[in-house]
Parts: sequence; structure tokens; C-alpha cells
Amino acid sequence: MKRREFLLLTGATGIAAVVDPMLGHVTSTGNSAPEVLPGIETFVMTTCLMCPGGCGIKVRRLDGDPTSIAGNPKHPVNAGGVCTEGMSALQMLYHPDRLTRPMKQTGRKGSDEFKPITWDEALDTISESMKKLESRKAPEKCAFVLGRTGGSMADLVYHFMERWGSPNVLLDQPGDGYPQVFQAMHGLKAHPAFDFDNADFVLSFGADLLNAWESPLQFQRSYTSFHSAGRGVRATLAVADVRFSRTAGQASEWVGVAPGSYGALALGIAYVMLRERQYDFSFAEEHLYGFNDEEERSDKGTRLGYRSLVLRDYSPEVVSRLTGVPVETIINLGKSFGESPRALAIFDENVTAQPGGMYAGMAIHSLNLLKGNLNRAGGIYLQPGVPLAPLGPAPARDALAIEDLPSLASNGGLEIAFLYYSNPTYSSAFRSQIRSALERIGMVVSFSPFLDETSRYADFILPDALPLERWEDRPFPPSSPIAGWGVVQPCVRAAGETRHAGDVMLSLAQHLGGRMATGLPWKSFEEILKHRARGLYESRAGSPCGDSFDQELLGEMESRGWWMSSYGSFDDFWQKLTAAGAWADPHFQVKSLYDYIGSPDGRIDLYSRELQKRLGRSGSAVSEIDFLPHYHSEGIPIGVTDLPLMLNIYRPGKLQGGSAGSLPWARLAAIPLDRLAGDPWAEVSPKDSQQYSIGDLDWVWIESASGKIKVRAVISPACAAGVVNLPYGLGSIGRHGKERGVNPLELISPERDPLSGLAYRLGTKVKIYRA
Amino acid sequence: MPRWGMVIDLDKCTGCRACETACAMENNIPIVSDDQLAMGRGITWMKVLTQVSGEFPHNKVTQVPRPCMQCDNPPCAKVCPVKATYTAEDGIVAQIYPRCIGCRYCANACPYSVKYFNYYEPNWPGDMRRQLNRDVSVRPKGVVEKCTFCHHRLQKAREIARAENRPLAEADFQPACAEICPSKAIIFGDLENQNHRVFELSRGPRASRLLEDLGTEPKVFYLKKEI
Amino acid sequence: MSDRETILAGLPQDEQDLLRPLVQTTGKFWYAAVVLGLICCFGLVSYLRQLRYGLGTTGLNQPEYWGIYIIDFVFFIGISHAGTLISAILRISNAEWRRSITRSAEFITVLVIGFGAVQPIVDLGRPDRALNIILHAQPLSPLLWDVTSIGLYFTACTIYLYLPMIPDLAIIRDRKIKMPRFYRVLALGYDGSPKHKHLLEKIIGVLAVAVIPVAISVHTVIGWIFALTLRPMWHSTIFGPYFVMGAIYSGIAALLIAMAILRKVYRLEDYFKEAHFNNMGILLLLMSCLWAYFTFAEYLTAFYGQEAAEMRTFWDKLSGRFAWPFWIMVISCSVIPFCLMCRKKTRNVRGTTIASGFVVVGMWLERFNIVVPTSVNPRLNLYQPAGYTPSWVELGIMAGTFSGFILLYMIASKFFPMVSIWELREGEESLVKLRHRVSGYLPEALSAAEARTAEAVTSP
Ligand SMILES: Nc1nc2c(c(=O)[nH]1)N[C@H]1C(S)=C(S)[C@@H](COP(=O)(O)OP(=O)(O)OC[C@H]3O[C@@H](n4cnc5c(=O)[nH]c(N)nc54)[C@H](O)[C@@H]3O)O[C@H]1N2
Ligand SMILES: Nc1nc2c(c(=O)[nH]1)N[C@H]1C(S)=C(S)[C@@H](COP(=O)(O)OP(=O)(O)OC[C@H]3O[C@@H](n4cnc5c(=O)[nH]c(N)nc54)[C@H](O)[C@@H]3O)O[C@H]1N2
Ligand code: SF4
Ligand code: SF4
Ligand code: SF4
Ligand code: SF4
Ligand code: SF4
Ligand SMILES: [Mo]
Repeated sequence: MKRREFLLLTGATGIAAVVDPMLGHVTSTGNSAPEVLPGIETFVMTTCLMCPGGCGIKVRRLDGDPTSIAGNPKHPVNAGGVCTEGMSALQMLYHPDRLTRPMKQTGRKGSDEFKPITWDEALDTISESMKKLESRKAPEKCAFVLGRTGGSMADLVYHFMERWGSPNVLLDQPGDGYPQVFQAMHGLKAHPAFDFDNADFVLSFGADLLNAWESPLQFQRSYTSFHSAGRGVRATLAVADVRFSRTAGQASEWVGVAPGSYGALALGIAYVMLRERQYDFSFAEEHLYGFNDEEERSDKGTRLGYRSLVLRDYSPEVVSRLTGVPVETIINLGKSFGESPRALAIFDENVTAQPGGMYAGMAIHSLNLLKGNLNRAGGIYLQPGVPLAPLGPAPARDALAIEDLPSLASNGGLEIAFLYYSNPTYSSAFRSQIRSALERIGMVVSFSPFLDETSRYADFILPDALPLERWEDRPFPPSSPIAGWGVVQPCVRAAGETRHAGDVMLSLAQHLGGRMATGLPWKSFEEILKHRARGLYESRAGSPCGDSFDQELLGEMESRGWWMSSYGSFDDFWQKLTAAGAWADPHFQVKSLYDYIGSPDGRIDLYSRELQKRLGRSGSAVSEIDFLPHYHSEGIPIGVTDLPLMLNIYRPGKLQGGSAGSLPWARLAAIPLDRLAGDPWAEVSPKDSQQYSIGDLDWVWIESASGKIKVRAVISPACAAGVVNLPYGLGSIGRHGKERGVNPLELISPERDPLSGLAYRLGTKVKIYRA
Repeated sequence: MPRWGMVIDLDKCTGCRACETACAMENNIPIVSDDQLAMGRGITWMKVLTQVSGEFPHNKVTQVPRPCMQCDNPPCAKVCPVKATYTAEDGIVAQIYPRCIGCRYCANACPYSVKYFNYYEPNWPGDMRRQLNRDVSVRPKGVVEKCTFCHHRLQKAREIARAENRPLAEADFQPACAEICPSKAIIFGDLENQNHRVFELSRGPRASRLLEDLGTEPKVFYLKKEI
Repeated sequence: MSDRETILAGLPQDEQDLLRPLVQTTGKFWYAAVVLGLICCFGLVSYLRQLRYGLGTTGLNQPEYWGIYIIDFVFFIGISHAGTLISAILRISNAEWRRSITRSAEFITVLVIGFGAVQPIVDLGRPDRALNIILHAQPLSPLLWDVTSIGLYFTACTIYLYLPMIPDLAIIRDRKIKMPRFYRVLALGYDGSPKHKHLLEKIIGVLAVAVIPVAISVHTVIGWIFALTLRPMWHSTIFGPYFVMGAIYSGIAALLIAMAILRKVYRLEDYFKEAHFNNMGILLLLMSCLWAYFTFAEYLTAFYGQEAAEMRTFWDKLSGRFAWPFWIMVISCSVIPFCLMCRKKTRNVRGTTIASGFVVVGMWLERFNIVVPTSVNPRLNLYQPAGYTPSWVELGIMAGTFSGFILLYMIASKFFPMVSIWELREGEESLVKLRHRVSGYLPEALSAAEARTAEAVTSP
């Protein structure tokens, strides 16, 4: 290392002479002198936190400043790639609108009257009022909103709240609905992993896998291997979507569907598979519950099975009418899906976050079940957990969601609320309710590094250090078949007086003293990570990420029960781990199929007994198909129906609600054409543009039952007639986002799915007219 | 004498535009404000040219990542009155910012429109200057700039190779866009060196170049889609 | 009546008419001068702003890199072909009717070259480095050839304007009507002696020949600036001659307008006669046909090529975003001047002036139609076409340069006679010469009678 640095130094200076005349590393005449600074170059292997993707990144530092981000070539998730948002972490780090010191709201909430205070002041006041709660025996009046984060930070929060004695941890992590679907069908709450690398037919329903999926680069990496010569047969990517998304553009089969009708499409495909007898008979017989009609014990005649339902209601003709997909396309999809030995069907929240979404998700997942595509190459796995050392006795986690905040806060239910990585007054369909709830809560504490929509309603803002400045961890995304643990480590010292929210929680525990102090003894979050890593060290499995060859070898050995330790002490391990940036266990222990099944009889439900229980309890009048995957049209459209167009909200270039949307690079990559820069837009189909006499780039109003927003119309062939595509997340905070972005959520009425609990984001009807 | 060239596999490219950002990050491309962008003054040495065609749902999309073609016979260099853009060693077409008078003749002469002009003094909001790559000079207002094949990386790679006295290997010199591409769609190397992947690829049946008939002899090759 | 005017009154009629503007200045003149002066100042302010903030203050973008400045550059240099070239050609072909118009023409040339030559500097992103063109000259660049030929042309024209003016300057010096020292210096002690006269005429003769190729080279090279790139509708072989032809065309038009104005404001009716306008009108007619011919040839070739890139620009001009400027250009460069000039009745002062007005506007539009549509339509069809709306800075500078030119021309007319006094007098002599020569061919009888009438004519 030393030698290399030295070389680079001499190199750099030596170069200067050579390069200068060449590329102009010379003070140019005129007012502006390009700077030539000596560059001592170092690299930090860490993990990107700009999205849930969990990619390994390599941060280049010059004179201590992070200046560029490259991918970690040895990382199993992204293998060296980085996306625009990932690189934008640098612009977030240096963002002019960062909050650099703790602040206290002096005016009423939302007045934006803040005054800077010291950390001690902040922690004292906060711990004081927490102690008051305690003395009143009302610890549960303190809630913690956990935004999009995971790993040890989430664990710390649960642990903290557990110790504190409040069950009120609210998740603000809009999911894709898989856990709910698994609960309903497999009888266990889990998120599947997808072995794209070995699949030969990937059928995506509405998941913009390359653009804004849970782990976009995991898929982009696999997508590359689809094409690589070494792979032999070229895998097929088929995409069903209401919008010609970027993933759709790469698909060899691109199928435009009517909004909300993907459930029907999935069952149409099932119909063809059943008819062509292209499904796994034995698997269906042995492992599927409710595949065939069955005699009810209690003589109520026969109970309708999946098979009969599909063959009865979802002939290609019918499905074609529901989805607008031509009959032959449905048949071809069904055949090719059925024929492919390793076919994989996948969906995401764009399927589930709307009325009937739960059934649609079940319908899509049923395709995998028909293929018996579980626990085998090219199919669906369940990622084994990472053997981290626990923080303490595992806390009970019952999932409250951010949407529960209003009811919790009603009539003095909450007096203190912490907000971490969460901006619900911008990103939740329940924005206004949440806002007024926050106004009602006595003390709101936000860790947001920016003055976002929500922290403006906070009494205290304790600005967090940003990902490139802090210690954290990020287990590989659940969608990755390889289990692993990404280390996040600081590349530069935290700006101003900002502090790692984890460290702040720890010192808060010390302020509170007593059981809190003893229960959270760690000095810093770094210590927590070391503590957890011991679990890995002792697990005698996996290793810090080496190159693919090492990994192969390692996996090979492990499968034969060997394990080669390449490190002497824990410190040695830790050093290697931080140098590698991630730990992975390439050889995931192949679980038995029964690890995928929660129900006692070891069957996976096509006929959901889980739903039967729940709906039975709720007593709402139910028909038997309510327990089976089916096309569930009622509830769509949400609210009034006399509006002509269907609203489809999508992520342009995978922008986060607020944070990425305000970063120049990320925004640039999201804007379809430069002429639009700075203006919000919506895609309108050529046909509708004529019907409503709208010209390209005209300003228009988009109006739903709940509100209206003003955007510029982009007449796009990528847009289906009768649909308006509206980008989500083009920035809310900061100079680069604030003034410009409009929030699509204005148009969405706050409703949740009774089955999945997900807030609806799709299925709203709108009209459009010239502004 | 190596002849550096690039092969872009359109079959792998997903149009994610990470290469654009990587280039901006590596080469201190100024951040252009929204209203300037709207005026069409964005600067992107690497640009992913995208066209969506066909009526829904029969759409097709064309995505062509476009750096400077580094022509062997560059029309841009011929017309420059002050030799501020010219073919440097290894066939890389260079810009001399401190000499450029900003006449934009080269920009007009480039058939691929890859040259950009600095209409204003570049500016980086707040602390964003700290992100700048010290190996690459910041361009003043009034001069033309373009993709340099990350020439500064070549300089460094050479120095290191020399210091460790060994020949320059393919992996030693990779431009930022090629390094970042999540699809590994950008392959870079010496077109004349048998051991570099570009040697085969650029001569393969799928390879072609933009506006080949103009005789500019670009050193950037495209592999056509296979679907 | 000031002493100057008493002197003036004592002079022969032609000198009285032609020197009056040097001593008498009407209120109208001052009024006009002030207005133009103000516009110039506005132009100057605009430029200072551009210097400070950079070309960002213009309406230019990527890839629309060239706009108003380059258009004006081509246009002005075109106009400059009014004087020198035309007067040189007429001199060599010693067309007698030239005598009264050469001076005003040559003045247009010299002034307009100046204003044309600054345009590219105004257009530079780094004017502070303009000298690099010499310090780091790159011989292959058409831009360099351009600098050279324009430089040459400017010097040639200035000399070519100055020399033929010397005898008149001498007259002014001798008449002592104004600033004696100034004119003494300029007149270079010319005394009208046969020796001096002979020498002068010799030099002028040589210059006249020399200046023609230079003039042609200038606009050819300007044509090449565009033609030597691979851009659609620029990369064309006839651009050289096309530009020269267009230059002469716009030159003649500009000259005609100048003549008409001088004639009116300085009451020079019997120096710029209907006959002159008629002859110039015929030239104009000729050029309008040439223009139509060249333009047609140019577009026909492009159209038959049917090359996709060419056609995008082609249709953008003919039926697209540039249809208006295009068709206005066609009408005012061919249809209108042709119709007006082909009929003797309308080939009068009014007719020619109107026609010229249209031609000047039309020729500016032609420059626009050459520069902009190609710039905004990149060759690679994967780009979106760009647009271009000039900013007030550009328009300000344009207005400034135009009025600057007119103002200087006005001022010049206050220091130098806009019609060559001595050359007109030469005209009388050549009248006699001519008579002798012709009578030499005639039979005795006729020539005797002819001689008698000649007596009648010549004797006072
Ligand atoms: N870099 C980066 N990556 C991200 C994020 C980020 O902010 N930055 N966000 C991450 C997060 S938090 C999440 S939750 C995921 C979200 O990942 P996604 O939900 O996949 O992203 P979206 O773009 O919201 O939706 C994908 C597609 O769903 C389509 N769609 C909408 N309605 C329907 C329908 O009714 N039927 C069908 N068939 N399709 C429909 C839309 O047209 C869109 O093309 O992205 C993650 N990835
Ligand atoms: N209509 C519609 N609504 C949606 C979606 C949609 O597709 N359409 N997507 C939904 C989904 S899936 C999601 S995930 C959400 C995303 O939307 P948001 O919840 O807005 O996600 P972000 O803005 O990325 O993160 C929330 C807050 O985290 C803060 N933050 C950023 N970095 C840090 C950090 O390092 N530390 C701390 N402590 N805080 C930080 C930012 O200030 C930001 O305000 O939007 C949801 N809402
Ligand atoms: S996909 Fe997500 S995690 Fe991976 S680099 Fe992009 S933003 Fe970072
Ligand atoms: S980064 Fe790679 S995949 Fe993405 S646009 Fe560029 S070349 Fe294509
Ligand atoms: S803009 Fe600069 S580089 Fe381009 S031609 Fe003019 S001087 Fe040369
Ligand atoms: S692509 Fe354009 S800029 Fe690059 S070398 Fe060729 S002509 Fe010059
Ligand atoms: S080679 Fe370097 S300069 Fe050229 S586009 Fe790629 S990153 Fe940018
Ligand atoms: Mo999300």
C-alpha cells in the first residue's frame, strides 16, 4: 500500500509535466484557474445505502475527500457495477442543504423557525421528558418510526424500544407485498430470493427490475449473464407492465397490460399451463393444498380447487378481454413459461399496492408453485439468515406501519416520537393524517440530515451522519440467493456537528441510565458491529468477499464440510472483513423444502387457509374464491369512477421519495429530455393527447377525486391510451429539488388493503386538461 | 504504439446511464442548472442516446451510449485554427483547454456532435467542489470540451507500470464509464493488441461504427443487439 | 453666410455640389447621428455584458453553436463586395457610367469589412486569447485562411479607396474649405501635374486588377468554412462560388440603396442619374437570375441525394420550422427583384431601391438559412433537433453594428466627397477622346459635319 501510494504521488507529479500541455492541467489564462492538487489516493470498501439494493462500493479518497465511487468487483450482489443513485451519494455528502448541527423548533410545528442547540441540551431535554413518561408509567407513549433501513440499526432500535418498554415501533418501509403473499400461501412471513442467474425464463409483473426494483443491480448483473456466451442458452426476459418501462425495453417479450389486470394475466397463463399439462404434477399432488377440488369433511359438498377455478374462469379469451393482451400472446407466454425448465415469475409493489393486489400476488406466485420452482437452481430460495451475534434477547416484533401513527396518536396516545429515515408527510398516502398526528404529539424528534417535509414538523432535529460518514451494516437484500453482510464504514469524518443516529441512541440510553444504560452498554455503533461480527467469526462459515474463484472453492469445500480459516484472530478477521467490505456465504446450506412451508401438513396453499382463518374471523360475508388467487376487480378504480384515465405512478430512474430526487446527477439521469429540466411531467398517450387536445410539453392539470397537480405533458409512445404515467420521487428537499417537484401522492386517497395492509398507490382514476 | 478503442455491446446495455454519471464524476463535468439544461446546454461527455418508437404496446427502444468516437481521421481536429484539439499519442483526440479560443468550429465539424461548450463559468453548489477529481482540470468558461478516453488514467497507469517495470496490461487502463457499467457492456482496450478483448470484438461480425461511410474511422465500435 | 460658404459659392458648379456636404450640416443629420449613436451604445453595453458573463448570455446552445454573429459576419463581408469588386470590374471594363458611383461604393466596402471582421471576435468564447490564432496558427484550418484573406482584402480595399481619392483631397486642400492641415497631409502633395496623374492612374489600374482575385478569395473561403465540415447542407462543392455570387448580389443592392439615399439627402440628382440606376438595375436583374440558378442547383442536388441526414435539414427549411425565413428569402431574392428589374419602366430610382431593399433583407435571411437550420439538426439522427432564439444581447450587438456602420458612413460623407470630382472631369476628356477616335473611322464628309457640331458643343 505504502509503496503504491508513494508511486502514485511521484506518478501524479511526474505526470503533471507530461499531461499538462496535453489536457490542460495548467493554469489557463483568464479569470479561472483550474486547480491542480497533489493527489494521495486511498480506497475504502463499503456498502451503498442509497437504496435497498445493498451493493458493494469502492470509494476513492483524495486528500481525505471522497471523490468517486466505483463498484466492489468481488461483491456477489453487484459485481463491480454502480448505478447513478449510488454515485449520487457523493452529492448528498456535499449537499449545500445539509443540516450540520442539532436544532430546536422555536415556533409552532411547521413554522420552520429553528434555533441551533448543543447536543447536550438536546439529549438532556429529550431524556428528561422520557423520564417523565416513565415516572407516569407510560413508556408506550413513546414511539419510534423506522424508515427505510435494515440491519443492526433496525435491531438497535427494536432493542432500545424493547428495553424502554414500548411496543410502538412503526415501520415506514413500503414493501412489495411478498411477505404477505408468503404468509397467505406458505404460512410463514418471508421474502423470497430469486436465482435469476440460473433461470432461463424470467417473467416480471410490473417490477421495473433494472430500474427501481428492491435490488436493481442484482438483476442487472444477472441480466448480463443472460447474454454471456459462457451460459449456453440465452435466457428470456418477459415483462408485463402498464408502462413501457426500461426493463420492458430490454425484454424479449414485452406485454402491455391494462392497469390492475396482471392477476388475470397470471391466471390466463396458468390456464394454458394446466391445459397443456406443462406443470409439475407430482409437486402439485404432494405439496400444494387446494390444487384440486376436495371433499369437505363437513359434507358441504366439494370445495372448489385452484385447477377448476382457473379452467372455469380464465380462458385466454376471457383474460384477453380483461387485460387487453391478445389471445395468442397469452397462449405463447403460457407455453414458453410452461416449457422452460427454470421459469421464474416475479412481482413487486406495483402489483400489490392496489385493490385486489393480494390476490394478484398470489396468482403470480402460483405460477412458480405450478412449476414446483422452489429451492432449486433458477428458482425461488429463502435466504438463510446471516449468523450475526445478537444484541440481546430477540425482541418481539409485531409490525405496526406508519399508517397506524394517526390512530396511535389520537387522544394523547403518543407524547414522544422519533423519526428515522422516514419522510411520511411526503411519501405516504396518509400524508395529511400523519402531519396532523405529528402536530398532536408533544415531542417529535427527527434524525433527518435534511430539512425534509417531515422534519419541519419535528421539535428537535438531530442530523444524522450520511452513509459515507458512518459505521453501519446492510445484510444482502432478501432477493439475493447468496446470504451476506455488507459493512458500511466511514470514508470521511462527519460534517459539522452531525452525529451517527446509532451513537445518539446509545448516548441517549446512557442519559436515561438504569436498565437502558446496562442494556445498551456499547460505547459506539462501531462497537456494536464488531460485537455482531464475532458471530460471523465463530460461525465457521463464509468469508470476507474474495474473487469469484476463491468463493467457488470455498463453497466447494464447505459443501463437503470443510472450512478453511484464513485468519488467526478476530482482529485479523475484522481487518480482512473491513478491507473486503462484505462477508458472504456463497454456499447457502440447501434447506429442505419444508423450511419453505409453515403449515403443519407440509403443504403450500393455493387455497389459503391463512385467509380462511382471518376472513372467517372478520366474519365479513365471504365466497370460496376469496381464499383462492383470482382476478379481483372490485375496489378499482378507487373512489369516483367518472374520471376517464387511470393513474400509474412509476419511478423514473429509481429515485427515492426525497433524498435522491434532490441530487443533480440522479435527477439528470431521471429526466427524459433536457428541455423538461426542472419541470414536473407526466406521460400521456398520443391518442389521449389528441382527444384532450394537449400538445407536447403543454402544462396540464391532472385531477383526481382527492386533488390536482400541475405538470407538463410529455406525449409518449411508451404510454398506453387511457393511462397517465406520473413519475414519483423527483425530489422534495433542497435547492435542487424543493421548488420544482410536485407530489403525486396529492392525487391518491389514503386507503389500505384489508388483506395485505399495504397503502394503495395505484388504481386511482384521473382526468387531464390544459392548464 | 497502442491504438486505444472502445467496444459497446448494445445487447448488454440497459440504458441505465450509469456511464454518464461515472464520466461526470471522474471528469469534473460541471453541474448545469435546470434552466440552462432546459436551454439545451447540458454537458455530457458520455451520452446515452435514447429513442422510444412504436405505438403502445408495440414499442421498441434504441439506446446508444455515445462517447467521443476518437476518430482516426478526426474532422474536428482539421478545422481548429489554433491546434487546441488534435490527435495526441495513442490516437486519442485531445483538447488543450488553455489554448482554445472558443470558436466552436470543431464542435460544428464533429459529425457526432460530441463536443460541448462552456457557456458559463462552471460552479459547484456548496461543498460539492470537494468531489472534484484532482487528476482532471476544471474547464474555464468559453472553451470546448469532450470525452478524452480518460486520458489521465492512461498517464497514471503508464507511470505505475513503468515504476513496477512491466508492460501495460488491459486491466491497468480502463476509463471510468467502462469500469462502472453494471452490465459490463463497455469493453475498452488496445485495438491492435491480440490479448485485449476489443481486438476480437471490434473485428467480429456484430461490430459496426456510427456513420461509417463518412470515413472518419471512429475507434468506438458497437455490437448490435442479438434479439 | 460663413466664410466657408462664401468660398464654396465661388467654386465651379460640380465642386459646389460635391463639397457642400463637407461644409454644411443639416439638423436632420445631427438627429439621425444621435439616434444611431445611442443604438451603438446599447450594442456596446450588450457586448460588455457578454464579456463579463460569457456566451451564456446568448441564445446559443448545444449543438446550435453559431448564431447571429456568424450570420452577420457572412452578411457584412458579403456587402463589402459592393465597392471594390464592382468598381474594379467597371474600371477595367472602363464602363464610363461608373465614374460617379465608384467612390460611394468603395466607402461601403472599407467600412463594412471592419464591422464584418469584428463579428467572429465577438463570437469567440475566449476573446482574450484571440492572438492564439497567430501564435499557434494551424495552417489546415479554413478559419486561418479566412483571417488571412480578409486581412489582405481590407488593406487592399483601403488603399484602393484612398489612392483614387488623392486628387480630390488635393482639391479640398487647395480650396481651403476645411481643416487645411488634415487635408494637406492626406493629399500627399499631389499637384495634378501630368506626371503625378499618370503615375496615379497606373497604380490604380494595377490595383484594380489585383484586388479582384482577393475579393473573390475572401468570400470563397467563407463559403469553405461551412463546406469543409461534414454537416448536412453545408458540405457542398458550390458553396465557394455560391457565396461569391451572393456577396456581389447583396453588394450591388446595398450600393443602390446608398446611392438613392445620398442622391436624396445631398441633392445629387444629376450625378446619380436615372441612367445609373438603370444600368445597376440591369446588373441586379442579372444577379437575381444567377441567384435563383445557384440556389436551385444547390437544393436540387441535395434533394436527389435523398441522404437521410441531408433531408432532415432540407425539409426543416422548405416545410419545417424554417419555412417562413426560407420562402421569404426566395421571394425577396428572386421573384421581387426579377419582376421589378426586368421591366424598363420599373428599373428607375424607386424601383431599383425597393428591389435592393428586398434583396438585402433576403440575403441576410439566406445567411440565416445556411447557418441555423444545419446547426440545429445534428447529423446523427439519434439526437433531438435543437432550437434557437437569439437573446437580447445578440440582437443588441447586431443593432449596434448595423447602426455603427451607417453612422460611420454618414460621418465619412462629411469629410470626403462621395462622388469622385476628378474622375468625372476625366469623363469630359474621354468624351473628346472618344469623339476623335470615332470620327477617325468616318468618311470625310461626315467627319467634317461631325467636327462642326463638335465645335458647337465644345465652345462655350
Ligand atoms: N437506486 C434506487 N433504487 C430503488 C429505489 C430508490 O429510491 N433508488 N427505491 C427502492 C424501493 S424503496 C422500492 S420499494 C423499489 C420499488 O421498485 P418498483 O416498485 O419496481 O419501482 P416502480 O418504478 O415504482 O414500479 C415498477 C413498475 O411497475 C409498473 N406498474 C405500475 N402499476 C402497475 C400495474 O397495475 N400492473 C403492472 N403489471 N405494472 C404496474 C410501473 O409502470 C413501473 O414500470 O425500488 C427500490 N429501488
Ligand atoms: N405515490 C408513490 N408513493 C410512494 C412510492 C411510490 O412509488 N409512489 N414509493 C414508496 C416507497 S416504496 C418508499 S420506500 C418511499 C420512499 O420515500 P421516502 O420515505 O421519502 O424515502 P426517502 O426520501 O429516500 O427517505 C426518507 C427520509 O430519509 C432521510 N434520509 C436520507 N438519508 C438519510 C440518512 O443517511 N440518515 C437518516 N437518518 N435519514 C436519511 C431523508 O431526509 C428523507 O427525508 O416512498 C413511498 N411512497
Ligand atoms: S442499486 Fe441501490 S444499492 Fe446498488 S448502487 Fe444503486 S443505489 Fe446503491
Ligand atoms: S452504464 Fe452500461 S448499461 Fe448503463 S447505459 Fe451505460 S453502457 Fe449501458
Ligand atoms: S473551439 Fe477551441 S478547440 Fe474547437 S476549434 Fe475553436 S479553438 Fe479549436
Ligand atoms: S467524434 Fe467528433 S470530436 Fe471525437 S474525434 Fe471524431 S470528430 Fe472529433
Ligand atoms: S472514456 Fe472517460 S471521458 Fe470518455 S466517456 Fe468514458 S468516462 Fe467519459
Ligand atoms: Mo420502498
